[in-house]
Amino acid sequence: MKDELKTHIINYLSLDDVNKDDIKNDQSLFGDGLGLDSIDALELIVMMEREYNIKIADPSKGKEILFSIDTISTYITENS
Amino acid sequence: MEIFVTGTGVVSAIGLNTNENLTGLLAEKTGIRVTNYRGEPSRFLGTVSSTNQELKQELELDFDTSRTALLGLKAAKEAWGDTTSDANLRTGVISGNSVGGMDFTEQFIMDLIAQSSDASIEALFSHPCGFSSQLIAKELDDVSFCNTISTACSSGANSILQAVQLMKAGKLDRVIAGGTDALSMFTIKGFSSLMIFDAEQCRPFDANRSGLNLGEGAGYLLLETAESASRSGNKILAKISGCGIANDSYHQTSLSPDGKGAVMSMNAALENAGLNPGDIDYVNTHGTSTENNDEVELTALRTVFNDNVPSFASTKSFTGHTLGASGAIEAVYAILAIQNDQAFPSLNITDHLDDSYKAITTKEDHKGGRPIKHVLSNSFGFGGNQTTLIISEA
Amino acid sequence: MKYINSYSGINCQNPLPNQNDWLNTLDVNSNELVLPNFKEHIEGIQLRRLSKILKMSLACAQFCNNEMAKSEMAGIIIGTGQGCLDDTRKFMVDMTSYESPSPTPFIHSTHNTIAGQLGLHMKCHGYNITHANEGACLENALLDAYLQPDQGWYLVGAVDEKIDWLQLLIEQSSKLKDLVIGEGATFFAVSNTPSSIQLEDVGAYFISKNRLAETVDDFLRQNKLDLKDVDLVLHNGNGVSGAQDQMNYQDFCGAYFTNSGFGIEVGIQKLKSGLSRVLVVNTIRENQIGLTLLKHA
Repeated sequence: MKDELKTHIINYLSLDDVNKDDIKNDQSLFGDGLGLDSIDALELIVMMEREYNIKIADPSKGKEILFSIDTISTYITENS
Repeated sequence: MEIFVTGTGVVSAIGLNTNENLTGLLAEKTGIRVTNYRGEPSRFLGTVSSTNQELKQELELDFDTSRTALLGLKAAKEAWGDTTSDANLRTGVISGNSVGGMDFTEQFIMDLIAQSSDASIEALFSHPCGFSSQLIAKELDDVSFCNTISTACSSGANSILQAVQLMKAGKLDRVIAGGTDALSMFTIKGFSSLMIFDAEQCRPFDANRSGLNLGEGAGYLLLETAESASRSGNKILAKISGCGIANDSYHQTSLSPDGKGAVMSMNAALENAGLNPGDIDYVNTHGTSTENNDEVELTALRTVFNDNVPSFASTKSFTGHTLGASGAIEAVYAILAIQNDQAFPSLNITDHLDDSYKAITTKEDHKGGRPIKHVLSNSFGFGGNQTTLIISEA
Repeated sequence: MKYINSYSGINCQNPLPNQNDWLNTLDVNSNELVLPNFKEHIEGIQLRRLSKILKMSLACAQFCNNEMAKSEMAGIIIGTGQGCLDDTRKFMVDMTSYESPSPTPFIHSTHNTIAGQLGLHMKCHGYNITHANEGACLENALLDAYLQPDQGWYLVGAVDEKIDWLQLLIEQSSKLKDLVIGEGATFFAVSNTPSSIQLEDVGAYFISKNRLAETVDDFLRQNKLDLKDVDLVLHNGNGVSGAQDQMNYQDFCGAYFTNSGFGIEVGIQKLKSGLSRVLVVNTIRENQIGLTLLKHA
C-alpha cells in the first residue's frame, strides 16, 4: 500500500524527478523533508478523497495526517 | 499635481449605489446571506440584489453579457454621473477584475459539455479581462484610453494607482478608475479547493475566524485634475494623496509572516503622500477573515504604525470579499468615511484576534470621534500583489 | 529617457537563447512554437507545477535577468491578453468532473500568476503589475515602465498561449475561421542606462483602427517627427500608407494579443543591422491601437 501511495503522491504533485525509492516511509514530506508546501498539502487532500475515498475537512488536521508515508498509510487503514 | 475624486459609483451586497451603500454601512448590518449559487450547496455569500435581466434593462443594453460587465457598467455610470463630454479633455477608463467574464464563459462550457444548442461562441467574446473595461469605455463619452489591470484581489486598487500615475505624467486629464467582479462557479469552487471559506458568516480580526465569504460588486471613482474639475464643474469629494505598491515575494497564495510586502506598500503610500503614520485616522484593511491575512495584516499595521495603530476595520464583513472589485469598493468607502467623519466597523467579532489591538466593532469605537481626514486602504492579492491607497480630504 | 538593455523571446522563428542573426532565417511557414529545453533555464523543482505560459515567461525572464546581472531589478510589468488559458481550462474540466477539484490550476489560472511567479522566483519585492486589456497589453506595460522612476531596471514581458479549445472555437467562428492563431513570449529589460536601443515613445489608444493614420501622425508629431523619419513600419495587419518601408510581423508569429512583442523583437534586430528608427504598430483588436517607437541610439 505504501508503494501505491508513493506513486499517487508523485503523480498528484508532478514530482517528475522523484523516484518511489527516494521517499523514505518515516521522512517528513513537508519542509526540509521532501520540500512540499501548503498547496501540495491541499493536493494530497484531493488525492485522499479521489484514491481512498477519505475526506479531510480540516486542513490543520491534514498537517498531522499527511506528515509522512507512515502516518498517511496508518490513517488510510484506520479510516477505510 | 493633485488628483481629485469628483464622482463615486458602487454596487455591492449592501446597496445598488453610493447612497444605499452608505446607509448599509451606517446601519452596521451585513449584506452577506446564505445563498444557493447555481445549484451549489448553500454558503454565505455577498450577492448584489439585481438580476442580470434587471441590470441589462437598466443599462439599456440589447445583448446578454457577463455579470461582471453589467455590475461594472452600472457602477461606472454612477461615478460618471452627468459629466459632460469635452473634446479638450483626455478621458480614460482603467478597470480591474480577476477572472473576466468567467460567469458567462463557464455557462458556455457547461452547455458545450451537455451538447446543448445554447452554446454559442459569441459568448466567449466577454471572457477576456479587457471586455468589461472596453464596454464601459464605449458607453461613456470621448474615451480615448482604456486599460485593464488584473492583479487578483488588488486589481481595483491598482487600476486607481495606474490612473493616478498616468494623470500625474500628463497623459490623461480624467479617468474612470476602479474594478468589478461577479460571482462565478469558477471562483467559488476555486476558493473552496483552497479550503479558505468560513462555513459561517465571516468575522475579520476575530480570534476564531476560519475563512472568508465571497462577494460580488463593482466600485469606480471619477478622478480629475484640477483643470479638468474646473472645466467639468464637478464637485470635489476627496483626493488620492498617496499610492504604494510592492510584491511580497513569499508564496503564491499566503502572506509572509512578518508582512514584508504589506509593510512596504503601506510605507510607500505614506511616503508618496508626504504623510506620517500619525496622520492616518482610519484604516480600511484588506481583512479577508482568513487566518493568514488578518494575522499578518495586523502585524504589518503594528510595524508601520509603531504599535500606535489607528482605528481599523474590515468592510468585507459587510460585502464579502469582492475580489477584483474590493480595492475600488473600499476606496469609495474611504471617501464616505471622510465625507461623513465615520469609521465603518468590522462586524461579527466576538473575541478579538489581539486584545491589545482591537478592530473597531461599532462606529462609536473610533478613537475619540477624531475627524477623518486621511484613510489608508489596503488590498492584497494572490501572487504577492500588495497595494495601499491613501485617500484624503481635499 | 528609457532604453531596452536586453530582450529574449520564445516564438516560431528563433529559439531561446536567441541568436543574433535570426532575422536572416525568417520563415513564413514556421508556425510551431520552438520551445527550449526548460530544464536548461529553470531549476527542476520549480518546474513541476508550471504551465507552458509560466515556463516560457520564467525562461525568458531568467535570460534577461542573467544579462542584467548585478543590476537591481526594480519591478516586473507583464502584459497578457488571455492569461493562463491552460490552467483555466484544467480547472474548468476538474470542477465539472469532481466534487473536490484540484487547487493548483485554480491558483495558476489568474492573469497575474505570471508576474507573481516571476516576483517569487526572482525574489523581487518591487513594483509588480499585470496589464490585460486584450489589444494593447504590451504597449500599456511598456508605457508603465516608461513612466517609472530612473532607479534599477524593469522586467517587461508580453506573453500569450494557445490551447486546443481556442483553436477549435476559432474554427467554428465564421468571422475568425481563417485566422492563424499563434502564441509566444517576449521579455525586455528596460531602464535609463543607455544602450543601442532607445525606447523613444509608447502610446496605447482606445481608438478604431480606421483612424490609424491620424493616430500615427499625432504620435510622431508629439515627438517632433513625421513618417519620413521612420525607416520601417512593422505592423500586424494594418500598415500606414506613405511609410518608407513596411512589414507584417504577424505573418511570422501568428495572431495573439501580445504579438507586437515579436514585432518589437524584429524592430530591435533591424535597428541593430543599420536602421535608425522603427515604428511598431499593433491593431490586433480593431478598437485599440498600440504604437512603439524605437530608435538606434
